Amino acid sequence: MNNNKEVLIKVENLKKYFLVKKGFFGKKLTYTKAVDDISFEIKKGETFGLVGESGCGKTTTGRCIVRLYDVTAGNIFFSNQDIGHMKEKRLKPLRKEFQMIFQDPYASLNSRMTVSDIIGEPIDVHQIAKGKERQEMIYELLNKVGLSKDHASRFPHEFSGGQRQRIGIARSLAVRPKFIVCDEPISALDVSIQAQVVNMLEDLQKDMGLTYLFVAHDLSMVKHISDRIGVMYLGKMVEIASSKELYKKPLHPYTQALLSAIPIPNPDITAMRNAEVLEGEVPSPINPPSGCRFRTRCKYAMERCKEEEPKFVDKDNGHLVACHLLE
Amino acid sequence: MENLNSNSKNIPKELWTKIDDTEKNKEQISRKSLTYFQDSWRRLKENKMAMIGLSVVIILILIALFGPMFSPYEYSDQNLSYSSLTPRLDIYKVSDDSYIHLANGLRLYRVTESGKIIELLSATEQNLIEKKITYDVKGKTVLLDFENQPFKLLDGNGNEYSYHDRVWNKTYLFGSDDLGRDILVRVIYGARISLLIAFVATVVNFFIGVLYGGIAGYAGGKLDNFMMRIVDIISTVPLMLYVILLMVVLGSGLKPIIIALGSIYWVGMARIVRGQILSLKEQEYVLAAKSIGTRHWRILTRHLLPNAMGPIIVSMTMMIPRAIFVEAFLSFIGLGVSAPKASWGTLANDALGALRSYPHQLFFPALAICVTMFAFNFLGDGLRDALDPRLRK
Amino acid sequence: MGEKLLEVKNLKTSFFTHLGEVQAVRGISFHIDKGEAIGIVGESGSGKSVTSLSVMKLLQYPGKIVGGEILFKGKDIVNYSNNKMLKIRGNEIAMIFQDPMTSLNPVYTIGNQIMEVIIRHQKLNKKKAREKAIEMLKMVGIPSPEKRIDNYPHEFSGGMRQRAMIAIALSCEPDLLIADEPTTALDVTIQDQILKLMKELKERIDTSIILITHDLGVVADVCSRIVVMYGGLVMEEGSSRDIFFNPQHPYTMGLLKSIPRLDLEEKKRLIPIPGTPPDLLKPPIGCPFADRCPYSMKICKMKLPEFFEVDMGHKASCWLLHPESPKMKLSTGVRKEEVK
Repeated sequence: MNNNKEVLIKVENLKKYFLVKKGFFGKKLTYTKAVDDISFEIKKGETFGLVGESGCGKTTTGRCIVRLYDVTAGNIFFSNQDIGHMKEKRLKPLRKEFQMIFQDPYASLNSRMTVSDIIGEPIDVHQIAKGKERQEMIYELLNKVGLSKDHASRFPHEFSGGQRQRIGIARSLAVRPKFIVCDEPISALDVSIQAQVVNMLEDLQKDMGLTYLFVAHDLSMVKHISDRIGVMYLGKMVEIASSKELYKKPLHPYTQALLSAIPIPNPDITAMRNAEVLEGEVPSPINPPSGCRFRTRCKYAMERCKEEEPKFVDKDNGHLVACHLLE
Repeated sequence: MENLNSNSKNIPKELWTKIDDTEKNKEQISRKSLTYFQDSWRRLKENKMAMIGLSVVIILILIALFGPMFSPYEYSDQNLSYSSLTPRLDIYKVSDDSYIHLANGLRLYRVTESGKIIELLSATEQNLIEKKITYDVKGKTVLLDFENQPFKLLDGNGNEYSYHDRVWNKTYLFGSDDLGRDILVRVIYGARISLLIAFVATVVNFFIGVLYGGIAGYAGGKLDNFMMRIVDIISTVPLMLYVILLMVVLGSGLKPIIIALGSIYWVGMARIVRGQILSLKEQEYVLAAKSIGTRHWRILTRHLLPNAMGPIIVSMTMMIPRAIFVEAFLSFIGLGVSAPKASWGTLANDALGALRSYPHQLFFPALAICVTMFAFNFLGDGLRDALDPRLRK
Repeated sequence: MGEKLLEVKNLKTSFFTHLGEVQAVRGISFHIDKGEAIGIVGESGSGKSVTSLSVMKLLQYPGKIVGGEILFKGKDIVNYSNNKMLKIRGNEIAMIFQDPMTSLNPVYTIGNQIMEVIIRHQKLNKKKAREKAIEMLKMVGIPSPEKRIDNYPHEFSGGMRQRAMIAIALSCEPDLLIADEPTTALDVTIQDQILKLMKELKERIDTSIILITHDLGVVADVCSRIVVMYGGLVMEEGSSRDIFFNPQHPYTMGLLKSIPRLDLEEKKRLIPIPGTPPDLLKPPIGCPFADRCPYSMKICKMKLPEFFEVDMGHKASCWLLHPESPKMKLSTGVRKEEVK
C-alpha cells in the first residue's frame, strides 16, 4: 500500500441532497439523499474505484468532486484547498486541475461542433493557446488518443462509440489535469472496445502522472483498473479496501453479494457456483431505511442494524468497513 | 477437416502470407456522413409538399421584391375612368379593327381584339327617357339600349352587334378597383407589406423569444419561475385591445402592428426554447463544458441554442403565416395600414363593399393569403419532420 | 440431439437507407433444439438484434429480409403474412426486450397487459385470465401478485418490470423465448436475479431460449451452446465449453482476452481488439474481422472463409483452420488449467 504517498483528494462528510418536491408554500421539503455523509481519500497517482448499483450516489459523488454540483454539506479538499464551497470565480483556474470523462459517448459530445472545436474548447476557455499553436495542441491530443489529424474536422456522429469516448478523453486532457473523474467511461461501449479505452486510460496515467476516480457498476473492470475500491450503497460508503483485498476478503455482506452476482465468463465456474442471489432491490433514497441502509436486503440483519448506524472502522491496514457484524 | 468446398481448394501459396498492420484499415471512419443540416435538407427534399411550399415561398418573395418593377402602374395610380374593370372582358365586334366592351355602370370601352383597353367612349347622344345612349366608334354608330336586361348593343339599323369573345383584360390582369387602381400591383404591393410585417415580427420574436426562453431555461429555479410568470401574464393580454391602444399612441400604420406582433408573439417562442433548454442542459456535453469552466453565456450560445435550433426554426416558420394572418385580420377590420398603401387585409376590406358586383376584387387578395398560408404551413410541417432528431438515423 | 425447433438457413436482412443497402445480416445459419438455451454473442452492429427481429418478423421499415429461410417447427415463416405471424408471435415465439422501461405501455396496468396476451391467444374469459396472470406474476417472483397486478408500470422498479415482461412473454407457454439483452439495463444484483429466474423457468416449462447479449459472462451462466456473430456473419459456433476453453476464431479469442477476469488472481494487462467493426454499408469481401485480426493473411481480405468443423458441433469460419494454412501460435482464451 502506498500509505506514504501524498493525498490529492480528501472528501470529508460529503452530503448532497436533491430537492424533490416543494410543499405548498414551500413548507414541506422532500429531499433525495443521493450522497449522505461519506468520507474517503485519493492519493496521488492512484486509481480509486467507486462501485455500487444505480442510485447509490457514485455518479453524484464524482460530480460533486469536480464541482458540477454544489455540495450540501461537507468538505472536498483538492491539494489541501477546500473546493467544496469555493465560488465559481475562484474555482475557474482550479478547474484545469481536475477533469471528467463522461458515461455516454453519444451525449457527451456536442453534435454541432467539430472534433477540433470540441477538443479546442477547454484550450479557448482557459486561454492556453491560440492560432497555430492551438491547432498543433489539438493534433497532439488526437494523436495521444489514437486518432489522426484527418479526424479533426469531422463531426462526432461520424465516429463509433469507442472513438467518441477517446475524443472525450482528449478533451479532458487538453488542460493537462492532475485528476480525472471517469464516470462509467466504458459501460456504454462494446466489450472489444472497453479494453482499448481502459488500456488507454492506464497508459495515460503512467505518462502524465494522472490520478483517477473511476466510477463504475462493473466490478470486474473496476477491480482491474483500480488500486483501491470504495463500495457505495444508497448514498453511504460501506467498504473501502485495496482492490486485491476487496476481492479476496470482502467483509461487508453487500460487497460479498455484489461480487457473487457478477457473471463469470467461464461455464465451469458458473456451474459450480452456489446459486445464492441477493434478493430485493435498492430502497428509495428519499426515505432510506433507518440504521444500516443495507439491512432490508441483508441476510445477517439484526435488531441492532435497525436502530444504530454502523460506524466506519479500520479492520486491517486501511480496509475500512461499516457493518455491525464486524465491530 | 476434409470437408472442403470446391472454392476453398487449391489456394495459391502466396495468399497464405501474413499481412502487416499498415495494410489493415483499423481506424476506419464509419462513413462519409452528412452534417445535421445537410441531412435535414436531404429529408426535406424528399418531402414533396414541403418543397412545393418552399418554392411558392421563394417565388412569392421574388415577386414581392421585383414584381412592381415590371408593372406599368404604381400601387397608388388612380384612373377613375378605368375603375372596377374585371379581369375577363366580353367584347363585341363593331368592325374589323374595332371592338367594344360594356362594363358595369353603362360604361362602354373601345378595346382591341386581344383585350387591351383603348379608351372610355363618351356618348354622342343620351336619351334617358327611352334608355338609349349613342356612341360613335370610329365612324360607326353604336346604340346602347339599356331598357331591358340584358342590355343590347345595336348598330344604326337596329341590328345587334355580334358577341365576339371573352378575353383576358390585358390592361389590368387582375382587374382594377373602384378607384381604377391595378389590383395586380396592389396585391404584389400587399405581399411586400404582409411579408415585411411577418418577417420583422418573426425576427423580433426570434431574438426576444430565444434569448428570454434561453435564459429562463438555463437559469432555472426561481428566476425561471419569475420569468415564466411574466410570460403567462403577457400571453393573457388580448391582442386586439393591445393593438388599438398602441394605435392610439402611435397612430395607425405598419409600426403599431409590427410592435404589437413583435412584443406579444415571442411568448410562444420563449416557451418552446425554455422547454428545449431545460431538457438539453442535463446532457453530458453541457456538464462537460461546465466542468471545463466554460462561462454560462458561452454554454448557452455554443452548446444549448445550436442544439435547440430545430424546433426554433420550425416554430419560426409556423409563426410567419400566423403573423400574416393576424396582420390581414387587423387590416381587414380597419386597424391596419392606411390608404393608399395596401396590404392583403385592406384589399379584402376594400373589396367587401362591392362584393356582389366585383367579386374579383376580393378573390385575388384572398387567394394570395391562402396560397401563402398553405405554402408556409407545408414548409413548416416538412421542416418539423426533417429536423426531428428522432427521425435521424 | 433433440428435435430442431427453429432453424435459420442463410438468413440475409438488409436496411435500405438513403445511403444505400446496409447489409445487417449477411447470410447466417443456426438452429435451436427443443428445450435448449443458446446464446448469440456479438458487439453492437454485429447483426444479433436484427437476427432476432427477423425471426419475429418485427423488422421496421426500411429493414427487409432479403434471403434465406426461417424454419419454425419445420415450416418456413419468411413469407408468412402478418395475420399468420400474429398467431405465432406471443403464442409460440415470445420476445423480451432490453429496456423494461419502454417495453411496457405506461397507461395500462401490468395485469391488463398480461391478460391481453392470455385472452387473445388462449381464449380464456376475463376472470380466468386474471387468475392466470396472477399465477404468472407469482412464477416470476413478484411478491404479493394479487395486489401488484393492478399496479401501473411506473410503480414497478426496473427489475420488477423485466420480471413482468418475462411473465407476459411466458404467459402463453411459448416454445421459443427470444431474450434480446434482457439484463443489459439492469444492475448486477438484479441481473443475477433475472438470470437465475430464466434458468429456473427453462427447467420448469421447457421453453427453448435464445439469449442475445454482448456479455460473455451472461451466456456462460445460462446457455449450453453459443453462436458468436461479427459483421453480420456467424464467426464461430459451439458448446459453451468449446467457446470458452477452446476458441478457434481469433475474434472469439480476442473477446475472451479483452474482458477483465475476476476469477484470476494476478492483474494482467487487457489485450484489446484494435480498431472498429466494419461498416455494413460496404461490407468487406473477405472476412469481416480481417482488418482487426492479429493473424490476418492475404486470403482473409480476399475471400470469405467457409466453416471448418473442429469438433462435433463446433465450427468456425476462419482461414487459419484450412488444412493448407500456415500453423501459427495463437494465444487463446481461458485455459482450463487457469481455473482455480
